Amino acid sequence: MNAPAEALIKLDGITKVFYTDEVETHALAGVHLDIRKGEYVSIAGPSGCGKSTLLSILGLLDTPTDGRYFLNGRTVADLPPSERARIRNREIGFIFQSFNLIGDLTVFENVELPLTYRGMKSGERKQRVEAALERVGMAHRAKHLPSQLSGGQQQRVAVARAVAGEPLILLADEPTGNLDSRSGEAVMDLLRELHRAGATICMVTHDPRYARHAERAIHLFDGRVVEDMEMAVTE
Amino acid sequence: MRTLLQDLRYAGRLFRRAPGFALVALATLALGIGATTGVFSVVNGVLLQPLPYHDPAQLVAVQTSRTQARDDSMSAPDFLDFQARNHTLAAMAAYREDVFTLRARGVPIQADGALVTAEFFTLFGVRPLAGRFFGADDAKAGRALAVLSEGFWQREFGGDPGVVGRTLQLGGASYTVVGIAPASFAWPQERQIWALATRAAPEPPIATTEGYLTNRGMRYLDVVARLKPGVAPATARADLETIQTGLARLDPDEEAGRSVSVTSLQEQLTGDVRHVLLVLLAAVGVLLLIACINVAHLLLARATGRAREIGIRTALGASRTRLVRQLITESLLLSLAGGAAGLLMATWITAALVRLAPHSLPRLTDVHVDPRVAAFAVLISTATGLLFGLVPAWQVSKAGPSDALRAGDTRTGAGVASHRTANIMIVAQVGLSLVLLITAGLMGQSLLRLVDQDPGFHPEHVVSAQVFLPQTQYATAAAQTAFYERFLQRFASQPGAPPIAIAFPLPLGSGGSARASFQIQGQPEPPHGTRPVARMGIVSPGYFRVMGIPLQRGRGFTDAARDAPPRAVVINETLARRYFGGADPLGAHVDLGMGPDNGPPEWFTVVGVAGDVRTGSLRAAPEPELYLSYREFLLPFMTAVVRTDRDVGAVTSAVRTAVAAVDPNLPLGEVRTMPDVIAASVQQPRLRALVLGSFALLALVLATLGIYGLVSYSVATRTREFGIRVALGAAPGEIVGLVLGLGLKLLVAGAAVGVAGAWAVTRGLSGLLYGVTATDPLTYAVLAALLVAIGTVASYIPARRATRVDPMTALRSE
Ligand SMILES: Nc1ncnc2c1ncn2[C@@H]1O[C@H](COP(=O)(O)OP(=O)(O)O)[C@@H](O)[C@H]1O
Ligand SMILES: [Mg+2]
Repeated sequence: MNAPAEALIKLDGITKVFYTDEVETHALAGVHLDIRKGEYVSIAGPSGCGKSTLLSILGLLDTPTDGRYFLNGRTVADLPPSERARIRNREIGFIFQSFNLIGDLTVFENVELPLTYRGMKSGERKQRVEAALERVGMAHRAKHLPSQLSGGQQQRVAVARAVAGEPLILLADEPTGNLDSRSGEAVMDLLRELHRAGATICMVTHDPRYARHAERAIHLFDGRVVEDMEMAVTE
Repeated sequence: MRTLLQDLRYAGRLFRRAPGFALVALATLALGIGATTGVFSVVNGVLLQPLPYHDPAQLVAVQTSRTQARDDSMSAPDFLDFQARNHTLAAMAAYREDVFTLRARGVPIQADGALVTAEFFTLFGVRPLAGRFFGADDAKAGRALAVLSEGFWQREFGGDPGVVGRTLQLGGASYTVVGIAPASFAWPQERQIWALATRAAPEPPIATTEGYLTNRGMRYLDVVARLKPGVAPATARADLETIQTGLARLDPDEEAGRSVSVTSLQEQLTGDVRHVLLVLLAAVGVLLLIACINVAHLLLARATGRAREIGIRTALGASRTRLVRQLITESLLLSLAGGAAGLLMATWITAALVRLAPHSLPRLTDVHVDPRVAAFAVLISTATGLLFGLVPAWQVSKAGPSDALRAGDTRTGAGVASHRTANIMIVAQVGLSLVLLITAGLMGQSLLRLVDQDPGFHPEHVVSAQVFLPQTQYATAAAQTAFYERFLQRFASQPGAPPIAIAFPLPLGSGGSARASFQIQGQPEPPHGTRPVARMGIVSPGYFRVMGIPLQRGRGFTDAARDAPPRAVVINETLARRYFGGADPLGAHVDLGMGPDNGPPEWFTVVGVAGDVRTGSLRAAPEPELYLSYREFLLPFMTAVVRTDRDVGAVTSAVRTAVAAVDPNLPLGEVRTMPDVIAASVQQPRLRALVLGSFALLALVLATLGIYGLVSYSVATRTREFGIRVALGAAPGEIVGLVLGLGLKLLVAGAAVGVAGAWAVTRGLSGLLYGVTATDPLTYAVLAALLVAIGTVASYIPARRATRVDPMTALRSE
């Protein structure tokens, strides 16, 4: 069990408004949130309450309409696109509900991709990719294309891709949403293992069984944090 | 019917929603169909349409030649012998082009005409527009008759039917107009007046003391004939060869070693332009191919994007036929609109080509947009549209709707196969465009080198004016010489008159040329018929100065009435180098064979060596050339050259004044500045470069559109992938690089194909090139690089778009 450390992420009054043709959607309406290093946070809430929006702001895929966001102690507003890309690449690991592997690349190449963007030497890349695939139990499928894998296997590859670069934080958006319960369990076990090894994880899920894996549960409703509680982890 | 309307409405909506796609496809079809139809219409009109004469396949041109000497014309006695003794020809006629002077509407004018034998018009089998043509009894009676062309009759006589029967003064002699030839009759080309020869054969162009009906050495006639029914040209040739063999026994000097050629009139007419037009046709064929590839690829790309939509429709219960009909409707709508635009374009391109074409291009009046050709082009592009419009339906029926529905997720599914097809098409397209670009580049370079070629004289500030004499009026050499002498004097006596000279031929002009065989005194006499031949220039004193031709050694001609014997000749550098070697030519004696046959040689003394001039064309290396004073030897087709800073109008009126002072009935021929003369002499290569250049440009535009379309499409289908890459931390530059790489790979492959293709194709064109080899590495490299650069810029636009992909929308789309 990791002792809670200093705040890795600090959100201060984050709002997000989407303007479409006629409607203003207030997806986030003032979110305050601290996530410390080594924490395993689950975010739950009804569909449309803003979970994915929150995660994409955390992952620098989107910018808030208002509010301040500190990542690892510094504000990330007004960073140029290239710097945001660098942060996404080195400090953040994404896991998506629909896996989002690139169909034309092999398993190995998919996992290697973020390391390539980092300009890492190929020898080191190979080592890291192999280690990451080993960790998720997919090393034997390195040469396969995503389409030749089951959903659960694809998601394990996606996890390997997210952790290969040793990011500061893993962001997972309903990682089990497209999986049957057995594969879902396997992926959750994987995340828990990663957490035990020190990873900071922020995971969206509305499955209460999986939410229990986390040590802290946040409830979102209508773009606001309505509940934030530390939990005893059930083993 | 209602479903058709529904299909049409849906197709219209699709095009409205993707106007870029519809526009690119339309423009491509219009360009492809337009250019192909336009050029093919010209080729069809000039090369393929039968001549508008009765049974044109039986019409032939008859020539005899010694390959070595370039005298394809026939002498009068030869013509008469062939005419009398052949067994294979239904009729045979001889003619000679001539320039007539006459007064029309009160001013002296010059008209292009021909002197023809009595059989001429009946042989062609055309009907007169008014009056009649010549008959055998006209010739027997020695009547002086003329036929006018329809155009000339309209222009000069306002189409007055009363002209038939009227007497015209042609070059001072009276001719009765008996008929009008229709505009469709154009043999020889661009004639305005045909006059009947008053004896068995037309008289020669230069005054002669000997009987031209018996002199076999005087070759000046063109001969046309009609084969007897069922007789092939080869049979006629064999027949005439037998007669030629008999002539060779009779007069070995003139007739030995001559062979007869019998060429179809059509080939005779179009032989020179055939090659060029076929190159053009090939170029435009490539263009149509590129256009079809483009449309095919556009439709394929769209098909990939629609596999999902079609899958959904199938899943919802649409029958295969229903789907196919929808797709056919869309393709047809596109093809028909493209075809209509293409036809519009075709009429425009045809008109432009006819306007651009050199006057020497035969049969331009026969050129019109051929409906069969247009139908063919529309058919091709419609077939392309249909074929590739159906691909999505075929893919769906092959894969089944569930596959297509699933396809949207990780891979583009059915798109993979068509992606490969599209890539191959783009590579082919880029390759073909490069072939065209390189061909045009080589032609353009040839033109530049040609124009850059030093003609051997200084054309700037020189104005030329034809001063031709009618033979009827100036029948003797003495009369002709006297006219030109007085003309030069009158011109020079005008106050402030600029330097003037007269010459035949005008360098790079189109007025024919003269050649003479010669023998240098002291050098061994070569066997019969193998004397060296040189171009002959006939000039007045001052010619070299006016034209700015340097005299390397010795002097030019003097103004003395006639150089006292021995008479003077000036030779050019090439002749001096080739026939005198290291020896000094000045003072050497040359016989030009001007004396009576078998008489003693008449020696001319070399008094000067002039710089080489490109007399015939800028292209050909200078040939040996001999200059004589116009007082020694004269043709009544001299051109005056004037060096002056004054404008053409002022020079024209000064020349006209001097001419009128000597002979008020004499018209002035063509007046042109020397730079214009030079420009006209490179009209063919210029047209080639221009037309091929425009096609290459069109091809480049089409290929660029193709690249742009493919890369755009690729970006569109891969938004999700780009979203993932952005989420994983790809910087904008990396995304741009990725997309550019996509286009670049195809471009480089296409360039390689193009270089190989051009290498294979352009070697067949070396005959049309000048100063640049068909494999010029610089041309290849520069144009390949240009194409790749332009293609890269075209893919940069979609690449920028790819960086603006919002990773959230990309990732959210399920
Ligand atoms: N790009 C967008 N444009 C407009 N509205 C959006 C956009 N993204 C999300 N929304 C809206 O914001 C709200 C929150 O969406 P989201 O964060 O995806 O919810 P959740 O992931 O919790 O289901 C929803 O009402 C959704 O419709
Ligand atoms: Mg969501």
